[in-house]
Amino acid sequence: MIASTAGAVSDNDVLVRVEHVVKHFPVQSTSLRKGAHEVVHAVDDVSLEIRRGETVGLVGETGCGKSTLARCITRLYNLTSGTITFEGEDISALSRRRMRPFRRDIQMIFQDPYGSLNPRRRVGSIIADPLSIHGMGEGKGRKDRKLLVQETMELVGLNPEHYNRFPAEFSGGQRQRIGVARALILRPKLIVCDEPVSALDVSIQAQIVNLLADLQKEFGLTYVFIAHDLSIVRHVSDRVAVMYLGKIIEEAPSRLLYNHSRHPYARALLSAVPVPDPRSAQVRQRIILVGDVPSPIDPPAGCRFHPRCPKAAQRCIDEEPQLVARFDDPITHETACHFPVADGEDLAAARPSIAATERVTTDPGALST
Amino acid sequence: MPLLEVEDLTVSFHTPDGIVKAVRDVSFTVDAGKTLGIVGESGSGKSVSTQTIMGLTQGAHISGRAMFEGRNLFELEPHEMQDIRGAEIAMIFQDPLSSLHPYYRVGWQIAEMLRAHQSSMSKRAAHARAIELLRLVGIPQPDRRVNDFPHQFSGGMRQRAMIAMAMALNPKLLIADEPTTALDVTVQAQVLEIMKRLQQEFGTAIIMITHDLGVIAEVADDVVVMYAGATMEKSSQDDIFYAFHHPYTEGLLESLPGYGDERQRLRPIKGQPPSLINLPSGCPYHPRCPYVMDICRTEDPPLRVVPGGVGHVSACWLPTDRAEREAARAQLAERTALAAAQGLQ
Repeated sequence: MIASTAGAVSDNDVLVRVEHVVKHFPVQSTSLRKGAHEVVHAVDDVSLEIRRGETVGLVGETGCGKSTLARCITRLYNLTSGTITFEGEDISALSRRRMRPFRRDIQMIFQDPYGSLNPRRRVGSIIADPLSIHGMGEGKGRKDRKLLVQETMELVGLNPEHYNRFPAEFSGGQRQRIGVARALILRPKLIVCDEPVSALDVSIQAQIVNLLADLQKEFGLTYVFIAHDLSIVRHVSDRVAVMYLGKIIEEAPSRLLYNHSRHPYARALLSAVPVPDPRSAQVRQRIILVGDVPSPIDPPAGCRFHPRCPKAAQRCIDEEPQLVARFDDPITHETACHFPVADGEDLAAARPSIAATERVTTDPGALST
Repeated sequence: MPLLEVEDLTVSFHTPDGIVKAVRDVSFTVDAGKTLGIVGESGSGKSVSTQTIMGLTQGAHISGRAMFEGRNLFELEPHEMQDIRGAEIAMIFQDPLSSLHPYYRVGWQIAEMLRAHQSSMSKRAAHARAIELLRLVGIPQPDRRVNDFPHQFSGGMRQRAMIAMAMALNPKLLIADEPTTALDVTVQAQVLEIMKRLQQEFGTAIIMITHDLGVIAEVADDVVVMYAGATMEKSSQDDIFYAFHHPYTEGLLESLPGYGDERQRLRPIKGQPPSLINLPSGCPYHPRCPYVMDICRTEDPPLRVVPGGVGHVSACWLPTDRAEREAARAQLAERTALAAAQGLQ
């Protein structure tokens, strides 16, 4: 972990630097409202540093922009604005062709081990795909290529003899291993894992999480790890960034985030995670948020969380909070909130001081807890 | 008398590949006003057993009994079952988007369900009741949202609408099949809260099917742990977490990330779940079990009473006495580790 020494991070340690990245998706305008160009603010002014050899977790609810951000980092999406620097080089506006050498270093693992593998192709050739795309092991090198594929299969815990099988002959966990092998075969520097274990059963999840940890140690990999399961993210990540409606609202070393979260949203999110321990579940204080995440087409002014925040005040509507260290937190722990939550503060007792019209409403009889 | 008593339920499907033994000799009871949690991984038979109770598994070979208020559900005429389904026993599913019809307004769908069971109810009354139900589950501005289409609802609201529909006729039993799996944690917390509140208010019994032990810890009174179509362990919520007997229960709990500070390596269950067509001999869990003994390979363990708990049974050959069991576990785990080390050399 990098807790105390950070702050004086030399450029050399930073593998990826994300600066003021914005990604908007235009909404198909209906015939009635032609001309009115609405956009979904999927990622809005996000900055993040990813250092060599670490795992950065991205968490947040559906639609918070975590997957979009990941796809911006891998340049699967073009940015609306902002820059992404990989090993000191600006890759945010590179053409497809000029991006190609970087693709070797940046790979991705997807959520769905069923949808991300072509069912009609043999596993060996799926795993070898990155090699052929990058023109490695063609012609005379073909034999080496097979060896490399089989070696990689063994690394991820697959039987190399199953080289000629089809994806359908593998279970979900094994398919995810195929996805890992495909990402690993070029020996990349960065692997973006987008919900890599969400579709797997609990006992298999743990196998894949351990595999990813082993590979990280062996090859010095850097991971961006996205998952909606916060306990898994805490387990694998050195640092975690919490996103809400396209913004990072809190970022910290995972131990600090999970024990001393400052942002009311981060705290509510963490308190909502079901704990597999009935005794602590009983005594634990839960903050249940009211309402739903507002539309990213027209996000709320100021702090985007203010309509649902138990601590919201007028300032939260007028002024957008900056992502900086609050209280006497180390500078690695940044929170975007005007009224951060202190240790031991009872968030459930907090009452917002803004007009009800600014709030997400819900029936007072329901959900009073 | 328990509200629902399932005895020796066995469900199999005949397929071209062979007979899929989806559920084997499963028994459990649900008491009025209580929550029974059924936990297991995909293919454990947790959904098939409850769908069979509801009469939703067509083409399956079913044996056993499901006594609901003294009547065997498997012997009812189709129209009798139709009266029970929805009115007496309601069900909610994992994916609320595919459970709601996209062409019809949410309120209309709730009203239709009311009128299907209570033909005397007027359209107007059903509409009013739909609004009331939406309010009950915490949908904001229910008088307006009642006229929305399902796509205008968020995932959490859709699941709440499903709960509203399920609770519409005040059923005695609600079967919830992974109701929060597709939802974000904050929304999951809202939905679980609503279910708990409705249960208190109306005394509904709930069968909560989930793969998430966190959800079990939150809501269940009693727990059934299923694996490969069979019951591995059955006990009170407390015993499952703090006095489990079966190695599979232990494996499930161990493979979760701890909530302590340190980042330890996870301890997964090795291997894969078995095929339901070719089940392993003996105990279905033995190929993955770290404490496997000779008897486990040949003989399927029956459910035996584990002393100390209330209604605590486990299908494992390990000693039922706690002290003896711990000793046997330690010894067998050591042996397995040794064998693994030798295998590597």
